Amino acid sequence: MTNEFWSFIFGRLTWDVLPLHEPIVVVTFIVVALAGVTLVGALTYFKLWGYLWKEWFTSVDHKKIGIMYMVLGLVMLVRGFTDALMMRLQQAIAFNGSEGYLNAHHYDQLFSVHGVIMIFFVAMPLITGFMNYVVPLQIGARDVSFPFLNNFSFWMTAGGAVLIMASLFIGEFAQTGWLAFPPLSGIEHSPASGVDYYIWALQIAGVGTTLSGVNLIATIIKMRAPGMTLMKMPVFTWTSLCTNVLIVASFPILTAVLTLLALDRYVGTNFFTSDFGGNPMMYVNLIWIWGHPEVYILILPAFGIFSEVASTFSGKRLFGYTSMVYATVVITVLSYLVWLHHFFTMGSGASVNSFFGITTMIISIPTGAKIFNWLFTMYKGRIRFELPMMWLIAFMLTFTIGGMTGVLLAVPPADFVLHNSLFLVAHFHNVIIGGVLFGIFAGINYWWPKAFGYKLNQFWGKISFWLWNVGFWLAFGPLYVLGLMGVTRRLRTFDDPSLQIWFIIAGIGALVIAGGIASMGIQFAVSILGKNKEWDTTGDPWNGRTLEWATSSPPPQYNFAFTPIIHDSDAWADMKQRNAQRPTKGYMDIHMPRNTGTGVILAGLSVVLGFALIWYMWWLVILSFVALIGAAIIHTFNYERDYYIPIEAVTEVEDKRTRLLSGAR
Amino acid sequence: MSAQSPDTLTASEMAHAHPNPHAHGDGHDHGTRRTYLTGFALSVILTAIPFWLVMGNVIEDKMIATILIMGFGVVQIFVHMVYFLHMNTKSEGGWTMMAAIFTIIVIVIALSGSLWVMFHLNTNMMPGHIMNPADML
Amino acid sequence: MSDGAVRSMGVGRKESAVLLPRAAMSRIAKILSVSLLAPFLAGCNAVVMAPAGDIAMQQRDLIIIATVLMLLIIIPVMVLVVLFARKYRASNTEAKYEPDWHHSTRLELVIWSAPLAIIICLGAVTWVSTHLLDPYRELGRLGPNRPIPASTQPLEVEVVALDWKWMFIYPQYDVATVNELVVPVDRPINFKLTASTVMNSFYIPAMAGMIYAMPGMQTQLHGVINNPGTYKGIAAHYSGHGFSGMHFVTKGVSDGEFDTWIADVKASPDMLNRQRYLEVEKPSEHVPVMHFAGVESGLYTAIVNMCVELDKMCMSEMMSIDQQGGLGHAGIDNLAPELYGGGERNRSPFGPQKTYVAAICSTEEAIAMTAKLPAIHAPSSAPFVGRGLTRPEAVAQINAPALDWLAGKLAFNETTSTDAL
Repeated sequence: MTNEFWSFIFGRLTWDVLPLHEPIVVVTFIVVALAGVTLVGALTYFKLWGYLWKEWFTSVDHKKIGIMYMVLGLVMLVRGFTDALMMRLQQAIAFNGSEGYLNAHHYDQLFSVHGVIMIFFVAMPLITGFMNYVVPLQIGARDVSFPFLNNFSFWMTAGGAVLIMASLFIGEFAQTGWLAFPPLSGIEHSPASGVDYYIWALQIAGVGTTLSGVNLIATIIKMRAPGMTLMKMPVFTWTSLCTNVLIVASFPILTAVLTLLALDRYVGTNFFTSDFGGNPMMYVNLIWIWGHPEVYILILPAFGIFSEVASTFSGKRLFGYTSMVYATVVITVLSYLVWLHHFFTMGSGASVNSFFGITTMIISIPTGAKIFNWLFTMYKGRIRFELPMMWLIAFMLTFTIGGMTGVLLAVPPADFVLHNSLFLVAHFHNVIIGGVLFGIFAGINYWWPKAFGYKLNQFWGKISFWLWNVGFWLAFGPLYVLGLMGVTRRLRTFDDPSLQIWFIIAGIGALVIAGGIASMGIQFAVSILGKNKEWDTTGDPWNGRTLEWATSSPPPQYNFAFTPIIHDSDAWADMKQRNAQRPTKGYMDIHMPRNTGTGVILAGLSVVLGFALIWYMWWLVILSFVALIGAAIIHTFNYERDYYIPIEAVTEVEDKRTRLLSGAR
Repeated sequence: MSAQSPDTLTASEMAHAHPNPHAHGDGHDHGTRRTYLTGFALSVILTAIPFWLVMGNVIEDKMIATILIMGFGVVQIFVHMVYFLHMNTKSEGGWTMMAAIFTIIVIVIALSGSLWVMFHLNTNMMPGHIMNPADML
Repeated sequence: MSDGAVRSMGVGRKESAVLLPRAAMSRIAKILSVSLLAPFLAGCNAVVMAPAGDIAMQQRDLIIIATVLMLLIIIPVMVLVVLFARKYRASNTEAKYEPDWHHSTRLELVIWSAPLAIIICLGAVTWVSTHLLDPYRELGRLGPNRPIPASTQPLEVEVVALDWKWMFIYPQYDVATVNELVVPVDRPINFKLTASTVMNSFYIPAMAGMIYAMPGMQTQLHGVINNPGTYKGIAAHYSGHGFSGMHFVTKGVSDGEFDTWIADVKASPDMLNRQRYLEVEKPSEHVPVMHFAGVESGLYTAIVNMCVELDKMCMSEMMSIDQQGGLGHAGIDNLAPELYGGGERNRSPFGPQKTYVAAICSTEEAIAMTAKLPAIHAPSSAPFVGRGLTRPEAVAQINAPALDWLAGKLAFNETTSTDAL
């Protein structure tokens, strides 16, 4: 066979692109391959493939999709954190002329992939998972508006993650930083496959994110239980609504700007090149118009989780519900007015800089109001220090510091000395870990009993809590200091030996966080496999206040046998107060959407398409694209999309719960 | 089981809150032949005028002509939204209107902001603006 | 643009209007910095908190002012979190429990207005300081109460971010260096910055804030170093594999030492002409200090305009041509195949062959270009049917201004000696 034939089949994919010369990657590959083979073997041996396919992969149940999002996010968290650990180790040892243990090619991929994974494939799936699981339950719906779309969205997100993981072993990832600024990310300076992996992974995952946003907006607007007016929606649902509005309004900008970059790279246009009339500053401008709302996309649902946790564990109504809602809406709109603060130092002049600096500061007003609202929710309450509440306290103490350094960075002249420094790195980890991640951990501990019917282990939860908190400050406190010492980000080696001690402390902090993650893994394992489970028979283990606690734990497939009528923003607390009785007869057939494998197929084809585009396998591009369109069209002829859960089945499930409840009392 | 009890609901009320994706939400405005025709006529007129402006060289100043044509484009977007997408203050309980207003706000912010920012960046940095070609020699 | 804004605010270059509050502020800042940060500064070399130049010093003051302003609200909040968490714990049954208390108009007012008040203060500080410390703004002083002596001429430095080293051209002294910046103390420095291939950011923490350096563009920075010493200069924006080694030494020296240093550089055998620049420009890492005794005239301008290679058309030239209507279809003929850069390997799979716009530098070439123009005339001279279509003769008319300009430039070109270029 001639070379031409092979390069027709495999494009630019050759043996040379496999990172066989990088021992670290080879060992990782062997470990991952062994683990993968073991997993596949185990699944086959226990004959679980059919179960997984029927009950999970093809499921359109919002609860199962929510859980799959969470699993995806947690798995990717381990990957992203491993990258972080490797960077910390490199920075802790690369002093006094030592090159460390990572070469530039590897290290530069690490910080790029760490950012991309943590934002797109950890934080996003985790918050989307919560919104998927909780929102329909909180508004008394049986599923989301478009159940198939929901499944498809999940698999597109997972497909993006698959491409990112593939870049570890096949070819390379972008060495451009997580936003891939041109001209560095242009074909001239980054000719290899890295930036293409970046583009197509984000494009595929972006489809999923956008569609899931559309889906949840429609769900919240159209499917609230009767009586639930907007101002009676739980705060988490409110923040989810605002987040999804942000998603729908901002992700198209990312899609567009990445498309333009792809055109530059594939067909030689000049949108962002330095010559031929291109303007790389336009890329920076556009990607931050998406990038800043993205920050609020992540933090708003976390705020929502904390609002639920604060009022539940203080045994009180949320203080200032109305101002909380308005604060959320104000943040939603204002988040579009601040993007330039990410590039003050590009030099757009004093008027522009001060305008965007001041708008940024204004956002801290509604955010501050929220902090006060949680504070006064605790005031005159009866605070139970369960794990979610502990995470809330930790959040309030950590996030205020992060918020403060954020406002500091919004002062343009201060930003001129702190931009791109480790101070900035410490700041955004402070708000993303201290805000988003702590919120997610609070949410996991809070809603786990709802999803699985038993509480998470407290002992390991507390160990994880303390390790995370101590580790966080150990890891990022030194970065604040280093920032003030004028040390910038993304450096691989250092000359000044006096800096080393700080990097070593930060490295130890990262190890402590690793302990926190491990404890969390143990917490899950002990809770799932342990014999003495804290079963929740009531469906309301925390004395909750919102509707999701009104149904059983885990909820039946149809969530609610009868759609509840809402009279109050704390619907369930209100029902309990008025001593509402759960109806035990009068059930009916329940109309439900049917599972479908189309989502998996479409996303799988998209991954193939992305992979083919990355490696220039043009025949495969055409083939997979045609197949993609074809599969979508065939799906429209699928008329068996729904079914009825017969009355007998409903009665059986509900009677079981009746027995359980009477036993519990 | 009083009427207050939130968990009780009659069958007809249940159907109302049914999650079936195929169920038709009420409150759609489907439009009539008349509105479609009006929309079509307006669109034709709004397309014909810019065409005439360009073909007839009616306005000398290219800048003014461009702005005018863009203006007609914007008006036509609204015509499409009202007559073809049935945008009004009432449909879907006002949500379509709300969504449209939000969209307009975001687009205006993103476009005007980008123009403002890029204008400043270009003024400050692009060599064409910094020096005239005679300085080159 | 920004100057206008400053003036309209009543803040002149001499800072008369804001002198008082700023002086007061920096005094507060100084007291605070001494009491709060002294132990911290002693522990490590926090250059951002203890810089050596007036601009960075003012930025430091601003960091402290903003932090203190925000601590006014952050500290009470954090204290209250801990207090409330302790007092209202479930086991403390003595504490009041009001499960339905969820609203208080007075409290809500405080909640919204307290942050608002602080943001208003901070916003005012931000607006003023952003204009005063704009990197494009020329220095108004050497330090607090130290106006610039009338005799002092600012030092001009042209900075080029290369892969992966920094080049400094001193046009007033006709010398250049790589990875070494020596400046006299207490003399304002006007930096002009650009880059050769990708974006970067120029940062001397001890002197002033950072500013981007971008290919085909020019940014500016103004600063001064007040204390003699050796400082770090950093590339603050990731620019590729050699990024970590891309730093330089900045030395603040006395006027006498500076003159000696200039003489030293002048004694170097190396000269920086276009060809030498193209050699130096090639990607390299951990580059030792280089000195160039002379710099070809117009080199920096050529770098900004991405036309160091003699046969490339300069950006400013291209933009001027475009501004005047462009060369029409003739412009398309003016492309030469790319000989520089990565060549075929770095080409888009479906992109056209890599090209660049060739310079029009000889009269013959210009004539050849204009000769090609008739080719875009309509094939028939018969008038077009259809109102408003461009008539053939109009094509030439549209191109006329560009051609006039070209002709003028070419005439000028011939009278100029080649080494002026």
